[in-house]
Amino acid sequence: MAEQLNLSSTEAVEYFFDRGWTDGLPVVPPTPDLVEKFLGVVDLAPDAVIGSVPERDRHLTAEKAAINSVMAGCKPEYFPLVVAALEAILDPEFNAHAVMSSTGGAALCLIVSGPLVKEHGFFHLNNALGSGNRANASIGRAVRLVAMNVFGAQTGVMDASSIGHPGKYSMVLAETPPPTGWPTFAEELGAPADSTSVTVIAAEGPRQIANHLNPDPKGWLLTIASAMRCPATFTVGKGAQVVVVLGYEARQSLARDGWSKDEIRSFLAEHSRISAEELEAAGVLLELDSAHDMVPEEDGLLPSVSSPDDIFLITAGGAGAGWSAYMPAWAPIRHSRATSRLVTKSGHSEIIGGKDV
Amino acid sequence: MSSCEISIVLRPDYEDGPVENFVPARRSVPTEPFTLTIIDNGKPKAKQLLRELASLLEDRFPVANVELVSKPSAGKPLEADVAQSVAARSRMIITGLGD
Repeated sequence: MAEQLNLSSTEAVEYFFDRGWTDGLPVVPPTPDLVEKFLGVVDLAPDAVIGSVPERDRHLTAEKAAINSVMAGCKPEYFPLVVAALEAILDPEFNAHAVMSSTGGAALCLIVSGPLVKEHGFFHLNNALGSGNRANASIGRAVRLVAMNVFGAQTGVMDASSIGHPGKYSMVLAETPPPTGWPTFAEELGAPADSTSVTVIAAEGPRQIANHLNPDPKGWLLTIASAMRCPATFTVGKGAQVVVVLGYEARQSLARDGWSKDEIRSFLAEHSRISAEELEAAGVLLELDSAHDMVPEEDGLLPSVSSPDDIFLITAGGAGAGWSAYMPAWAPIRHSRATSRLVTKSGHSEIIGGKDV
Repeated sequence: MSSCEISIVLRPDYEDGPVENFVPARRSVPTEPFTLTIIDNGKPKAKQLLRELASLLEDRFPVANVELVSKPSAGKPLEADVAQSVAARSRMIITGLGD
């Protein structure tokens, strides 16, 4: 059980700063009664193990997850989703040890799809990746605080991010219901109807994509593909999983024009391929004799995504002229794969999706 | 709650148990011919750097042969069975960390 500290609420905030137990912002003092409320909404004993990072010889208990969720400002009813996200993060496929220590500075980006988006009041339209919402901000913050406090993902300890990005405070993308005829992301993962999925991907910061004038939906996709093949992105030319956020106009016009999500993925995978000459013109040397050699394929091009199925097509964002977004994974899939869980009220999450999702 | 009211809060970090004393491995200068293994972590130019180090060590010690083991990912540890096998046949092992 967690050690109890005798501190006033004001002292606690400063004490937590001094001990390096915050992300740089004040936290809600985790009193036993608040922590108990969180544990009370799931069927998990305080010492139940949610997962571990074997390379660090550390494990996460439900109590420590609850303490950090209180600190992040979560509501108790968010806790099952936090637990499911943490289970996904601690899945060996995700390789949390590398994600949390790499110089690449990845965020623990959560993608939420299903009825909990509405129930918890996530921003999924305007400011879908912006600030101003408790669910988006605190749930992502909770998993980051766990990474820092339980697993040592702290500057000067075991987080060697060279630059990092603001998504390392919190990065939660909630899906807005897609246009008629398109499956939700949860459905694509194989989630039962009326259930919510949470997916974690180790992500670089979002790139906003603008296309304000082109009336042809294919033009939108070409613009998105141009962002996906930027030579400055680490995984371009190697291939990785990516998140593409289809903004309001993009998803409406693409669906209206008859594009399916599979067709969009195939188009983006094909048009985001890049030549060795383009990379070299941008000063990027091809990696050879390394863990991910960059050898052009038969068409003379290199991939920016590992496969069409590795493009996570998410509908989000409010009305406004021509905005979409894109987030590449921090590294190719041999280092880390996105992992998903079904959120359950008991806290005993179920694995969904798989290597091909 | 007033700011001076004493309350109880819970520690959020990982709480280790007491650390047991341990005895580090014996250090000695090798005098008999031995196998030197270099473990390439998969990063660009790691092999070249490690081979250069191995070459320097060959000048100083009775290295009989140099073996190269390559990890598939810098972000993952060597598989346990591979690590045990390497440890069993090597007198000295060198690897690198980071970029």
